[in-house]
Amino acid sequence: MSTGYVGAATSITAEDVPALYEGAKFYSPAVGDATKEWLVRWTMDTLARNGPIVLVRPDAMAPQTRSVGLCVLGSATALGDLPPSGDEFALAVRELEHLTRQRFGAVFPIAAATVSALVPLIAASQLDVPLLDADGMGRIFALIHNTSLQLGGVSPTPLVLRGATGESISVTTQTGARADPLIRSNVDTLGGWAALAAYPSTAGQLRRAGLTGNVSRLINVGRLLLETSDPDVLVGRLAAVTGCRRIGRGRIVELEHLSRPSDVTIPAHPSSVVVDEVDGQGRQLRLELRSEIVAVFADGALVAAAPDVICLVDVLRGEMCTLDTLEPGALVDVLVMPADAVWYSPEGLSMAGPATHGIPLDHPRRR
Amino acid sequence: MAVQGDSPAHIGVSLGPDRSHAVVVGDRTVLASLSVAGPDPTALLARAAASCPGRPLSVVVDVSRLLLTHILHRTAGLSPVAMIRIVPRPASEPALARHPADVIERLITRRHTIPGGHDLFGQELRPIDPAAVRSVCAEIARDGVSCVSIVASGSSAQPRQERVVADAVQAVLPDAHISLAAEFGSQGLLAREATVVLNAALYAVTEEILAGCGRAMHRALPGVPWHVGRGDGGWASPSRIGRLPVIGVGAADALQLLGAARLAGSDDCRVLLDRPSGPVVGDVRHGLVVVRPQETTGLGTVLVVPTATLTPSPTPAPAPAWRTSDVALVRADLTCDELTCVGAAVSRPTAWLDEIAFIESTSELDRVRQDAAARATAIATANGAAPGSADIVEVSTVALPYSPSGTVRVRVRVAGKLDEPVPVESR
Amino acid sequence: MSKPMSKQPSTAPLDLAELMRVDPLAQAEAVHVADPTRQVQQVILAETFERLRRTTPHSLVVLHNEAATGGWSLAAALHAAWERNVTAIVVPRAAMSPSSAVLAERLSIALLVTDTDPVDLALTLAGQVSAPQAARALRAALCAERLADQSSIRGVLGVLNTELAPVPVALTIGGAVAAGRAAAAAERPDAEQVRVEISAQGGRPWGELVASVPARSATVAAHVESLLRLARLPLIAAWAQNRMNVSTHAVQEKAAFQLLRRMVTEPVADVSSNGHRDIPMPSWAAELHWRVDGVNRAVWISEVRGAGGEPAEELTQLVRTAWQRHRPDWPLVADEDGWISWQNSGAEDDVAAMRRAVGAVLGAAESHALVLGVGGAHSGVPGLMRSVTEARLAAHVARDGGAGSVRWFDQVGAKATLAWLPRGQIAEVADLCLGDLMAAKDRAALVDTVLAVLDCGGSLSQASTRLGVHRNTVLSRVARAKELGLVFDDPAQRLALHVLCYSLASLWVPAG
Repeated sequence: MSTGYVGAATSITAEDVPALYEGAKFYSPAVGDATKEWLVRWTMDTLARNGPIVLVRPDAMAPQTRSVGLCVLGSATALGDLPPSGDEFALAVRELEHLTRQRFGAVFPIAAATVSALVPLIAASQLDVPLLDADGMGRIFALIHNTSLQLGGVSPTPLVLRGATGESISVTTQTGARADPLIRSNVDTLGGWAALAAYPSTAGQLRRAGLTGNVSRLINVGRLLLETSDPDVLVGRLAAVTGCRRIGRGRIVELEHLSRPSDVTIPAHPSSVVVDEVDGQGRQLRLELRSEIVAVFADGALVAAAPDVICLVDVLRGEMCTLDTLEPGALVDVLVMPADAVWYSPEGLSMAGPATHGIPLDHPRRR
Repeated sequence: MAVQGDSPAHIGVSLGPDRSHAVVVGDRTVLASLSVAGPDPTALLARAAASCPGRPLSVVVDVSRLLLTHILHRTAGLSPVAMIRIVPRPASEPALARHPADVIERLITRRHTIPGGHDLFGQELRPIDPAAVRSVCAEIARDGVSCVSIVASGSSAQPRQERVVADAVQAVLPDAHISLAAEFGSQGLLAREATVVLNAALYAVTEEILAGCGRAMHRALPGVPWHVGRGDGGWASPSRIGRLPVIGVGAADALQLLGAARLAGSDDCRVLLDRPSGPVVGDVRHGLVVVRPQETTGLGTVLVVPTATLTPSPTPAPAPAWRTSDVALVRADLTCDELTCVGAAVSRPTAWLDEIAFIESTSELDRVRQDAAARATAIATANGAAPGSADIVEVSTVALPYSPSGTVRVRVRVAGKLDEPVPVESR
Repeated sequence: MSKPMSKQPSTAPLDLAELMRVDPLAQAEAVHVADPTRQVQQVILAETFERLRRTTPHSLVVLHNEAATGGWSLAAALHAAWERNVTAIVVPRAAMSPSSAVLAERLSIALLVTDTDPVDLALTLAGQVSAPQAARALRAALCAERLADQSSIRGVLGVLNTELAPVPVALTIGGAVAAGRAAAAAERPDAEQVRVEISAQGGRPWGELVASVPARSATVAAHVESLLRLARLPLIAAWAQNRMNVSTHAVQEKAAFQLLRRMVTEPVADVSSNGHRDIPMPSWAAELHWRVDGVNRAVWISEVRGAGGEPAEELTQLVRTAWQRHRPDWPLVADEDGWISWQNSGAEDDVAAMRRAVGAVLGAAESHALVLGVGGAHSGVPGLMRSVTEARLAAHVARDGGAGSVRWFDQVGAKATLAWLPRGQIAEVADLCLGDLMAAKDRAALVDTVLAVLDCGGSLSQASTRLGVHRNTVLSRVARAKELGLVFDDPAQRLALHVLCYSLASLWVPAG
């Protein structure tokens, strides 16, 4: 593994993959390691065989270059039990090319986090095109139109969805927000996850509406995570790189389910984790979950909320906690990190703020 | 030292390729610690029986070091395995067609894929193809393999396709030993594949080890019940381990944590173990070792049977984070092998369940949890716990991220009662 | 027959405790109540968080709709309530979670869980809060029903204390707390006492109900008083019933003790070889919960001015109440001109426990004009009887010290002899042979002075020190006493006069 800081334009080699994986996990702490073993091996094999991926900032590319976004839609647990055949992402891009009658000269991650940060590398390698160092979320949001691209006027459709079953679906809509309800039930039918190729766009549009630098930062964060397992050192270093801070440290005392009304538009039902702070003021921290941690209340006061990235560090192991393996009794640090600035604009908050999760309170960063 | 009456002794044994160890634990103390060269339990058990004041209540044997040696260094002694994956489409990429861990892949003589599979809720994604089943059976028969393992997508929720294929293989190879992933539950095709491959490969060698233990027990301590250590720090009956040997993998790690905690008289603590590779730490909670399905120590790949979580400890002093922690840090002064034996002697029958369920209301959640707990209790009883003695130790249900609303993962841990639940002091 | 209620229910704002005693909040589950005396000035139905943010202090908030979606919403509502100094939060059960109970306690916000429709609940509560008289009248009616169900004093006080909590209520008799919470009778600068006299029909007052109301809520005092008045009739009925029961019991105990005494004093045919008589405890003693095996130490309680006869039944009850308040496990038996109790301490004498017991009842003894004598520690039934005799002697000596005095037999010694002087008859003798002295107005001072001089062996200066008067005063009084016939210079007369002065002086001890 190289130890230098990854700059603006470079290449990603097989050796960078473990760090990229850890960084990608940090920006979407909900998803567990169900896919880690084969995903890292597959990505490394592909890069070793086909050579390093070229990573280019959108502003370093000809603005007319056609580009397409990729991500995994659905649950990582489903993906873990039903791994891809391997051609799903490349075939989804080809189908979208067929549908739009255009050739894509670059791919980018729709959300540079978790599995969705790695599959664009594989697709770029398989299709032999560069990877753009930009994404549309800077973390993971549950709905595919919750992107800076949509805010910037780039529609997610036409799009192509391809499952491990070998089946595919293409969707064209008038407005971006219609796409998610149209494809969500199809994802379940395809086995719980699907490869998504969407946001046909240009490098120029990405430069304007994308979140530049979000792929390279994963490698930098990932290296920090791999270097130390001491949670205090880890949090200190992450603070310097990502602006994250610790809300508190405590023991999980309760997991609540269906603790608030559920709606059908967002996957995973609302649940809550109650943490008793073990130091500091001994506050009761209440984490509201909806696929990700969407809000943190300290003694009932809202102290962090989506679009902030909120994650848990397992203090005793010095590693990220994934939300599908939480257990009462575990000692955790609650970390909060600001999302990209665009998400705190009025438009950004109305798209991804706490109110979208049924929490009609002012965002703590806006008060 | 508290002495309470005539409390009978327990014997813990750990068999290793180079040396094997035994301890006699009774009256809250380690009464004797013995060791012999080689893996043969005959002499060891005879000496342990002689050092035991009266007839021991039970004997628990850890065979995990022998199993690990076979997996890592003596592959020749293991049975070659034919692997059948049941997924909707075969892998188009070489990295996805194999298991990512070489330690697993080298046990597999030939791989086969049969189109089929279910989702996590047991919905069929693709019906099984009878022609493909026939042709795979023909190939296996031609290869003359005696061990077959089968994993299908979604088989934890719907094992039907695995059984159909297993029946077909058994029909052409009546003597074959077939391992099904559905027997272990949990999720993750490759972790389930690794588990079922190891299970098949270890079958013959485990049978041999257990037969040796059975003979040695009969000679040294006829009629005394004996059990085999599990990767989660509990024990199961020899017949159960004989059928599912992979659940014995990793037992030594868990039993060391349990042994050290018990010597410290603590039910909730963090244990520091000295290993040749440096100090590691693991946790004990509610009197049971903290385990999860994960990359098994020393094996380098993820299994779905839970094993102890060991984290490298920063040297020389534990990190400040642990000092602020509310649990004690325990460091035992016995050797790792002795700790394994102490842990074995005080271990309990256990069971573990990891399921996906779908709920629409909180009352339904309670029902799902109760069902899971009842099933886990039944498994613990099958593992050898006295009926009615099993306690639900931990239940956790979490919402599965990015899954349909109402999808929960339920994990249940059950432990039977120990005959003599007392802390043990070192000599 | 009860008097008409003297006061109308007050129009002061209701407090939380009052609201919780009537429906619909009486049906609600109180998850946490920090301060039940907090006022509820307004009821707010909060459907949104926006509404919650505009809440005024001292209001009761009923959560509904968006504000009651459960999980975080209740946590956030509790926080908002804490920020706005809200009195209480009422939440539908569906929105409740165990962690919210913990948070309510942590933030010290009253939290009630209801199964009633929040809108109906809020409307009803708003009605009650806007018309506190009606709510109080309803409450008083409910309370009256509950009081009427009580058949014991303890039960009546229990209802009052539950109903008025946290205001403590006690029943005092002769200034001593007979039942209820002692805190009610204690004077406190931050509290005001509400008193209601209890008297039997047309009879003299025999007790008083006392409640200690926080000073700031003077308006509550009126309501407290009306409830105390409601309690009078049930209390009188319970008192009468109690008296009947107690009288029967007292007679039974008295007879039993006399039986026990007879067992010791009367000769028994079967005498063991070593002459030591060991009297087994009779089975009926156990039924009375008397313990006599092991070491016994008796206490004799008597009136400071024993008239010689049996004390009045009322007094027996007062003594019993006072005694049992502190030592409910020690018996109390009326016997001749006093009461007997004893401490049974197994194998070892426990003087400290006896000292504590005696110390605890001293206040009551003083206010009821009683004195106490404590006997020695002796084992078995015979030992008990001996200790009783010793205690009685000590009690007689204690009379010299006035009401509330205690004497231990161990320290009394030969002085006990004096206690048995027939003082009344000696005084009659004095009337006959010292007529002039007995007729004098200053006879008490003269007798005291002569007694002091005799006690001091004739030393005028020592006597003046003891009496706290000038030596010349002593001299002049002695001279006057001699004029009136008290000539103690004659050795043949001296003993008789000394005894006579002693008897007269102890008879004339100033009361109190």
